[in-house]
Amino acid sequence: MLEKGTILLVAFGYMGLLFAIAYAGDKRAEMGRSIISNPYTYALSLAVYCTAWTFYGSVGRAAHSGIGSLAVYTGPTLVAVLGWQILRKIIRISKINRITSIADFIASRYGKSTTLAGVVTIIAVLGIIPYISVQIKAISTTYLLISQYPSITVPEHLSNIPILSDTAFYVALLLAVFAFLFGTRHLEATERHEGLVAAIAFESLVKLIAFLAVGLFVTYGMYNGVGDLFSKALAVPDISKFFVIDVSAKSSVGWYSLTFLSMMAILFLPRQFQLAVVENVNEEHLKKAIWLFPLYLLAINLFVLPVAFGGLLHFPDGSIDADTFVLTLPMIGHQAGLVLLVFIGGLSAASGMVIVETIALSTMICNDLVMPVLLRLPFLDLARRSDLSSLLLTIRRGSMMLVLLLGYAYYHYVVKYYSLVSIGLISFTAVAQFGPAILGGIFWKGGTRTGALCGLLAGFAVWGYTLVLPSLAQAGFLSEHFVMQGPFGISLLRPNQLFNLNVTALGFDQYTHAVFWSMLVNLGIYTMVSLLTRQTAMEHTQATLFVDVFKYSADMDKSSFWRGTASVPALRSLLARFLGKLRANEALAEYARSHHINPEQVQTTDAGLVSYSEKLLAGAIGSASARVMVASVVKEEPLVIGDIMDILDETRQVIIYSRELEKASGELKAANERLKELDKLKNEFISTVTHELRTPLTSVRALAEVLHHNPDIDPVQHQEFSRIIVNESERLSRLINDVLDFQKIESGRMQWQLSRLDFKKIIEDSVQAMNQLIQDKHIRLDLDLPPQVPLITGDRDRLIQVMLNLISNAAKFCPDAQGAITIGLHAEADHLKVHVTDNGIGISPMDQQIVFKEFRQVKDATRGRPMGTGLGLSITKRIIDFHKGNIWVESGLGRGASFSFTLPLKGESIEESPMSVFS
Amino acid sequence: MIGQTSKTGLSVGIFMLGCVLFSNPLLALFNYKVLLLGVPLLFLYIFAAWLLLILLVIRVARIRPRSAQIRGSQDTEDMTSP
Repeated sequence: MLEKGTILLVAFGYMGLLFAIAYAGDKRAEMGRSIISNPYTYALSLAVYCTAWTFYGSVGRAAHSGIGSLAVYTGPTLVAVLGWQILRKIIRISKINRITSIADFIASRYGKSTTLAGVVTIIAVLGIIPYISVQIKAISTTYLLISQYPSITVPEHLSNIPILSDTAFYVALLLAVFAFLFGTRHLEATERHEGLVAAIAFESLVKLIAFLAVGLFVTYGMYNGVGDLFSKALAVPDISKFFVIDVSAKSSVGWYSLTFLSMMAILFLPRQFQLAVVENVNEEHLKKAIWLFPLYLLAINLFVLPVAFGGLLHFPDGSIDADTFVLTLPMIGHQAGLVLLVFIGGLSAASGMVIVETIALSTMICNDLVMPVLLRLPFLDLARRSDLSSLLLTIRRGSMMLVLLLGYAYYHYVVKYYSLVSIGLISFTAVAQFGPAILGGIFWKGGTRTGALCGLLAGFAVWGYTLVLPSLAQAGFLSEHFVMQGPFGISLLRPNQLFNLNVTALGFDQYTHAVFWSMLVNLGIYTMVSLLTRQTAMEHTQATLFVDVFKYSADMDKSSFWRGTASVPALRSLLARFLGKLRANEALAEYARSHHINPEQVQTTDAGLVSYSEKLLAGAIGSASARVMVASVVKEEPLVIGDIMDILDETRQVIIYSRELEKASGELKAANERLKELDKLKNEFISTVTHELRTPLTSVRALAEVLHHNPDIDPVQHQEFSRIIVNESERLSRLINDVLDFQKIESGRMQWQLSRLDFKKIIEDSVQAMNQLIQDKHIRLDLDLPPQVPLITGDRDRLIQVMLNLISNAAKFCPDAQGAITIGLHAEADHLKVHVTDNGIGISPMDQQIVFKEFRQVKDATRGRPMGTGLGLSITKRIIDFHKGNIWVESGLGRGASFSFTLPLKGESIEESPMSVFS
Repeated sequence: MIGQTSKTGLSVGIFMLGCVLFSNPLLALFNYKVLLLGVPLLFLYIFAAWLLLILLVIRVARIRPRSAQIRGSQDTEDMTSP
């Protein structure tokens, strides 16, 4: 007889032991001597995969379908083979990004999307609840079963009893308490639970020992070894049919879909993710775990068939639920101790699963569902609260309770109609929906947020429609009609036969049917939408960081997405709010140590510390929320967009700079050309000037020599020669004066004698001076002068020089016969306008451009080089420029030329300023 | 010689071997209601195949990557996506 008290005492004693292990584990972790930092603990903790479903259910399934149930364990074995490639990548990514849950992982991969995190959380919670209900069912059923020991009374399904007298309800509450104790003992809401891992590893050991004990008892205690048991089973046709499987293509589909589901489950069940990824201490542990874990699965399955066949041999009438064979066989053998051990083993399997699963789910609910909403509610103003760690713990505890109560509710209303394994498969199918988004996310950069979101939602919808709706219908929440005839009688939409899929011909069971449709829709939509949508900059960065994690992980700390700065005190208080003051200070001190900075002196920080803080926060509240919180204290717009703009801006500046350089070098080049030209012109000028000087000098010298050698020369001739000598000498002085003038003007050393002048007088004086020349050439001179003009300010001698230059210039080019020069003067509003017009050969438009340039002379093929230095007009222009006037020429070849200039009436602005060659 | 091959390649190979071992044509080969060593043949086969896979994984896990001596480069060694 097993007293209820004994059972409860042992059960609570066992849980106490677990708690002690967890406590010791945490203590040792704090001291830095982790007991979980070895591959064996890690591998054993992964065995949380084997729940009450395995412990009780696999025998039950073997008793119904024989060897086919093994697919649930061969699938994970296949995944373990690739564990080093897939799991290590997920672990590395998660460590670098401080990922705390599967929702966090998916959200982070697709641009830290809060929406995606919420959706994944909802799918996970709803998908896992049936699974949790299985554990509640297993504990409460086995408790009721063994409390009747030694009589075997199959407990009735107690759905009609009130909740408060239902053992399962108290089981659920107790499990919630244990989850609190294990998962939220610390005041800091951190993601790691070393003690918990140790306890889970211990539980794995206990359930394996318990199951092996039952197996050995059945095989060697009740029968004479394996051979005896199997040969007896072979004799019974109802049992020996399980020795083989139906290998027709039709029925092997179930085997494949089970393999597929278990492969997804081992990777993406929240509790597997929690233990394999989040709680992983060292990725090197994976090396041993990838064969230790399959070995564990193999060991725990060794006796599944013997126990199942033993049960079938003992209870051939089917009166005993095969799910309980593990307990009922020791019970009929009157092995009270073994029964208790098995019960504890089952309790280990169930409680381990529930505790880890609720911790994982509560982290997701808190970080990815509740906090993002709370942080965005303006009236709560959570962002300003000084300490949020207690709020976080409250939310986590609340969500743990919620998950377990939902699990109980599902048990209470639905589970009684299903076997353990069937319920588990509903959860597996839900979890498999994460497959495309995660595997696609870590191996394919093209997956987009929208694609993942649409794929997940679609797959989840199909899951709900094809698996959950029928189960609810069976529980009486929906009419059976809905399932049998389809909604509104549309048979195309029957949940068990979507689009009239011929499930019988294909050999699809309900789960294969759901797996097929949900994965088809999920994968198809994920891929198609990803191909058709564009990634944001953030998504693109995250995609690259995830897919190429091994390429970037070495310098991951440096490649931050934050480009802004934040003040250290602001970051410190932000961290303190979520992590607690102590841990925040510790974390900052650690960063300061490793980066050799003094946090007390540094007031603003760089992107490195901002990223570090974000990751720390992500550990507590999830990456999406952490991003929002950090953004609130970081100054600049952090996104990569800004970065790109910076880079673009930089590029633009470089382009501008190089353009400026080009321009400058172009200017230099032009100046150089000009200098070269000037140099050439100066050479020409020198040769011109010397030529011009030599000509009169030669004639002066020749005539002087003639006069010198012939003292008795004819007086008339003497007179003539003397006149020529005088004229040539004058011409020489004129040339020399021109050169000197030009040089003076150019170098700014010209002395200007400014006075008020009547320009009419200047013209008259100039004409007077030129009269001889004009008459010599028989040129007709017309003066067009007004009676009175306003006075101007200017240098009289220079302006006379201008007029002389222009008149002599005109005279020079006038035809020998009928030459005519017109000089005009007009007073206009603010200036005087003067023109000197001749009817000479004219100047071609091309030459008009250069006549005012120094050293330029218009060359004419027929007349040769004109007389003069080529400086006259140039000097003229500079004099006019000095007087702030303009000078220009209008002409055409053969139509004479008209030189005009203006002089401003207000001469006050005239200042003495040097003029440069380059002006 | 085995160290010259990429670990990823070997792992993928074992994975594919596992898929073949656990699927129909091969399962059908052993699908008879007979006992071998006192154990149903199919049962024995599946566990043998399972054990084989585990042994192969152990063997591959022991392979040190070519560039193991060079710290850091070890990480990128095998991560060409399967």
